[in-house]
Amino acid sequence: MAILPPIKGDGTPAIGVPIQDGIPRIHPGGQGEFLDKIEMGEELMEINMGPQHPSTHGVLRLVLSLDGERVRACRPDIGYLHTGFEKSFESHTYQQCIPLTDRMDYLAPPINNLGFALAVEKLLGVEIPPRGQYIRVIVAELSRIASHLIWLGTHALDLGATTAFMYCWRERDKILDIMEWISGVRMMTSFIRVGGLLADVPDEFVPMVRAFVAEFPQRVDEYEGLLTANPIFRQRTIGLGVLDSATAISFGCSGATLRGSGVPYDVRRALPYSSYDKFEFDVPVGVRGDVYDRYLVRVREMREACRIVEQAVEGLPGGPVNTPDRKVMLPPRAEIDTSMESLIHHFKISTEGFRPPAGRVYSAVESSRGELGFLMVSDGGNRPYRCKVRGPSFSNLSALSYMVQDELVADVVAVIGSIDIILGDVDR
Amino acid sequence: MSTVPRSVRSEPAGSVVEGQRAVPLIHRLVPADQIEAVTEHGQLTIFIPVDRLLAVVAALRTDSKAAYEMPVTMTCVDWPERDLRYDVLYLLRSLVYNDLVAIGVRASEETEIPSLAALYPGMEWHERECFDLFGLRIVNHPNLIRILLPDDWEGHPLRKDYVSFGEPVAFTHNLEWALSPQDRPEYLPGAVRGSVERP
Amino acid sequence: MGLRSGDGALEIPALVRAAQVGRADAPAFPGVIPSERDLVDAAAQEGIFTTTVGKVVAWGRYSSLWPALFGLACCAIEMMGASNARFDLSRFGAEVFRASPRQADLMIVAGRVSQKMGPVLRQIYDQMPDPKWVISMGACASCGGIFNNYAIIQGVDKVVPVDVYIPGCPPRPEGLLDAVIKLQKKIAATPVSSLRE
Repeated sequence: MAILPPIKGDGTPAIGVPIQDGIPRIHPGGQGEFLDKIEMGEELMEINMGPQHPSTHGVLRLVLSLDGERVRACRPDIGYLHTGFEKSFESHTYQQCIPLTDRMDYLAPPINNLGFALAVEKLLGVEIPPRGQYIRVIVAELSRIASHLIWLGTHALDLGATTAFMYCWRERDKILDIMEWISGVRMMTSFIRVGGLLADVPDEFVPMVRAFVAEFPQRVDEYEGLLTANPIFRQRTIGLGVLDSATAISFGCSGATLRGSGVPYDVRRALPYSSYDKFEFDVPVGVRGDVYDRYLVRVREMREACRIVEQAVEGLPGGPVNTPDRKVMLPPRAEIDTSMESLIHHFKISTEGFRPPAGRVYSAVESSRGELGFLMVSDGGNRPYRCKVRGPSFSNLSALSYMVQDELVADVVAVIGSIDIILGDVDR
Repeated sequence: MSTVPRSVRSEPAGSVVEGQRAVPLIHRLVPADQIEAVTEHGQLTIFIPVDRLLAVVAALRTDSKAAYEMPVTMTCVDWPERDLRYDVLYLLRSLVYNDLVAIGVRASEETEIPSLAALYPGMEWHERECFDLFGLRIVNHPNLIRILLPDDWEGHPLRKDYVSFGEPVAFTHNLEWALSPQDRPEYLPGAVRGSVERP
Repeated sequence: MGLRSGDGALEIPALVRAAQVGRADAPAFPGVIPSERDLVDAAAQEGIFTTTVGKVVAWGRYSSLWPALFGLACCAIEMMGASNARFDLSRFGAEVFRASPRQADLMIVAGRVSQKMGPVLRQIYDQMPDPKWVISMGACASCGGIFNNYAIIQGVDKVVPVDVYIPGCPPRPEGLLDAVIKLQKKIAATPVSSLRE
């Protein structure tokens, strides 16, 4: 591009650049000093972002209509991780579905297990003993912390801060060690099952959890020290991606996406399940609904989850962990040797599984992303007739096109990170 | 940023059947013989005719005593033996009153269901998903195209008559499915050959 | 052993062969005619190493594998864990995850590949320059995993050629490290000429 001539005193340039309404119409991409004064016109450039892109949020494709650097329209294209979970549920028995549920929201698998198990237990009408409920709470909250750690690490990484990524994985590996100790698997534990748990936790569980809880608050202080008062982070996130509460509710947002906008809706508080009403914890709520507020909400949620774990592990009752209903949960091995009914129950459960009575129920839990709901329909058989999974990220993502309106392209990445989507929930 | 103290919910859950708030509203809009209310496990599902759906949901959303402002989900249950094979369910939540109601509509493959996307932006994607996976016919939808499956996919997978098939699991007794018919070993007669026929 | 002549020039003996014990023309005193081993040691002292071009090229290739970011689902989380501080993938040279496939030579398919994603997978693979390798990480990428249904491609080797398969759901990060090591051995065993396709 040739260097543009200076504009003369009366506003006309020396060479014949066309002027419209007193503004020189210069070809876009020219010298920077004139671009602020130019109206870019109606030409929008449509670019494709994904499904393979470095923001490690999964296979999401965004079609952005850009006016220069500003996003005028954003159309998410999902389905690149569609796995057919709901169809697979219909061909597996209820207990066989638990490992499938692990893979939906794969950052916090025990919470999916818990949601599914609670829905089926409502259909069956079984009660879990208190020890089982408390251990479920501990495992669910630990996995919530693990999920938020990944969110924090990848969100900061998207904005350029690589240290947080390394730090968060250090803590996450400790949680995965605990998961491995109780279930044998780091991630897809399938620990929480219909009717209780896989098994009672080993003796080392309580000391390991106590050790984790003792040091975790300082770690969160470390992460906050890196980011919360960091001027670069604040400049990149404050005032960005604002979602007001009415819009958030009408999109069906939940979780930190909704709480960042000021709506104090948390399923653990609104519809307590699995003894959550016995624990003291706060529900953090934001004010402006921007990326920074959602960040603060989730960091605070990590602290609150740690608090819940601490209370649960201190007050852990003794007793059995599984429901005593032999039609649902396998009887203990010793009982099979002495009781004919136990042997028959064991046989029935192992071969065909339990049969909940026909009915329909909707059961929701608070996953790390929002309200994870299971609409379970049974026709009296041993397989779910229809299990609809209400993934929180599905509804949260539908609000993305509203949130990135008129933001810069580089900020789209920050907004996606702040809604904390997981494509396993979106696409199922 | 503030934190909310303990008692954030206005009504204890479980002591009442969820969804009762919707009942008087619906009785005002739909004749009583066309309402079918089902209560299961403390949750209320109300089936109404398709032509009243938009009016009922709009009333549920805007009425100050009901205020079902949050679209939780929309789904479909397929009962293929029935004439109206689909139970289309809309789950709506009231955050103010901490209440959940399920509005149901019975539909067949040809029934035209009005879109709720104008009332709840969040329903837009749920309706696309139901169209994609069940083939529901939804009218006045801003953008009714497939959402989870490729655009050129044929069929609607979550229907009960859609056979979901990846590939047969290869055991030693059915490895021949991978071979072409002329390569299959002769010692296995056709009737026993393979446990599953390759589609 | 001095190989330098008086004026400092390097002098390689004209006849260089391994010393054969028991042969008639073996030297009476070992060390007078240098054995190949001694020659190599002496050369190393001067800073000269002998090898083949193929080995050096292979060493360069396997020691600096640049993975293309292709984390799809749960296995991607363990891949991220493998590149983090505890299970350090950068020890094996594969630290630099490139966003653009044009700058990458290793594609770790980490996660389940749905029908919609298959063409994208192939396109990314085609955009990678030669030589390139593919690690199929996890059960879903290797064979469809637990999802034997309409939505998942039953194994990415239906779409791209795979060099190493990792079983597991998800495989531990050590599994990924093991796969990278196996791939390194495979690359070391591949002569240079066969990579010119």
